[in-house]
Amino acid sequence: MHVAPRSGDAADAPGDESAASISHRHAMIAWSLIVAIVVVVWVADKAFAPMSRLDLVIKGPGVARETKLSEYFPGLKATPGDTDVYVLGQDGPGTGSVLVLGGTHPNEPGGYLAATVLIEAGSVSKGRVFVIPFACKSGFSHNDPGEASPQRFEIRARGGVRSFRYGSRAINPLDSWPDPDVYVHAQSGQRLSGEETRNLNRAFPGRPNGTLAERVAHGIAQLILRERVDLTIDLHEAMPEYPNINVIVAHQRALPLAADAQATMMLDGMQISLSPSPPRLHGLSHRELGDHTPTLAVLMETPNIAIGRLRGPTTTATVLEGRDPFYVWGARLGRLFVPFDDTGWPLDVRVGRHVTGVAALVESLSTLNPSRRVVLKVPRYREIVERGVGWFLNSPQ
Amino acid sequence: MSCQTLRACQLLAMVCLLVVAPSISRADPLPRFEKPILVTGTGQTPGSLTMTTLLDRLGIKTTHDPIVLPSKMGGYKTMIVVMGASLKGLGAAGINQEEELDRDRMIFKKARELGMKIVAAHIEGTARRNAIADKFIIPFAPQADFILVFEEGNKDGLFTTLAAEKKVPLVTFKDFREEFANIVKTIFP
Repeated sequence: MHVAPRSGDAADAPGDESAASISHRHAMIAWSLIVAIVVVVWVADKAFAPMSRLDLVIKGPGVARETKLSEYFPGLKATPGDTDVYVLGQDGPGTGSVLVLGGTHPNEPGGYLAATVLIEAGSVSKGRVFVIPFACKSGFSHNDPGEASPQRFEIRARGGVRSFRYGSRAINPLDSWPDPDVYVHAQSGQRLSGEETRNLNRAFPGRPNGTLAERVAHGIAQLILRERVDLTIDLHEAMPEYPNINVIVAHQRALPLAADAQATMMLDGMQISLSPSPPRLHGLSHRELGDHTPTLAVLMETPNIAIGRLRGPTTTATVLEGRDPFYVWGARLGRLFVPFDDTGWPLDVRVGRHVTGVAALVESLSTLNPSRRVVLKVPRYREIVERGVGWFLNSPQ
Repeated sequence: MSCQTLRACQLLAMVCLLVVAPSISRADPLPRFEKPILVTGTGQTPGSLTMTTLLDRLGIKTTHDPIVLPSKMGGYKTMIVVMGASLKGLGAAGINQEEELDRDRMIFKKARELGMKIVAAHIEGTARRNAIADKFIIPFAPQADFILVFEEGNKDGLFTTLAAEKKVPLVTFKDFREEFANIVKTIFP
């Protein structure tokens, strides 16, 4: 009977030297690939790791205390949702509290820069103002390359250049994955597209054991409850072709206060609309924080063409200058809900509007409820527009 | 008179006309409206609350009822109707447009029955000019005794056209701090 040699025996046969050489070559290729992968991962990590570091905020003299959102909901500790909270002013008898949210959507810089201006240049002589400049911290750790969004933009501040991240509307998928096919808002049962799972402004009032967005939203709601926040202002931006723009959206309990602030702004020469928070649209700060906490919840919008559908090339200039010939054309065709000409909507104007809006709302809170007074001093609209936002940001030196 | 002099005179006359024409409506004495004043809106626009707050700040007391019904309209001399519609207010809130249009028709009819004067206003500019808002403007503006419009919302000339159709006096303004304040203080003495 003929017995075929075992494969192991073949190596001992004459001419097997070539097989050993092939095996050695394969091993070399494998090691080369491993080294290449390690190098690529190392380089990618070098590029991506800084994106998880928050932008510089240089506290002004008005900041009395700095803390983290995990102080109010420990479940956020050491997670990508644990973000900084700055407190301006002191608690005291006959004083109230206000919360300002910036960066709920990290691709709406008018909101988080206005919040940063409050921290760096604002002061509170009565009551307290809590400011969370990067509410959706995880959303700042990535952006939307498919939208051609810039990763960063720079502003010339006094004493140097300040760099700010242009993030994504939603939480980073690395921090919250996978998205379900359908996002069901826990409290109402409202169904939205699966990617809205990572949208902080569809997650309110949040849940302690929910998704990352729901846990951040829960942390914010806990802060409001524990600190007895009378007024919550969420700062946003919208595309000029969106009907709700240059507007204060107010929960029904906050409508008289919002109308009072609106009147202040209009009589001071600034056109702004008022819109009631729709009772059937769930998960938004102005709806859910108003329904589930005693706070008066409002949201403000300014126009940002960098998130608009009609824009041409998207660059840092698009973000900073807010100019685009296609939007001028869109305005001529009557397709926009804000006036739009060659001057566009620069970031200075948008931040100026938000800061002015916050000041007007806080003033109205004190007027309508004198037992919960908050006195906030901030740069005026004209100063911000004429000198630029950078003038009110502290030196990076 | 020489041909050149005649032409110069014609040119001067045209320039004068161009300068004077836009101010003709302003130069006309503004009408006066009596108190008490009811403020409401078409399309359930939050602009009625804005108008009430603005007037209050300017020392003009009014009663605000954004969804007033004909049965509650007694006792007023003037009704200010802020026209427009909030898309979030109507669509997202699930309010039926036809039902709201019916209410608006009823309050205009009742105001006439009660002998009230009607001031129709649009104060929210471009933000409250869209196809839905126009449904709550076009049928009602021509029924008013006076139309007051923030100029930014009249860029397409809609209010000018509607006012001209029924010869309703129309006044537009560019800012709230001075022009709007002066107009309302004059018409609501």
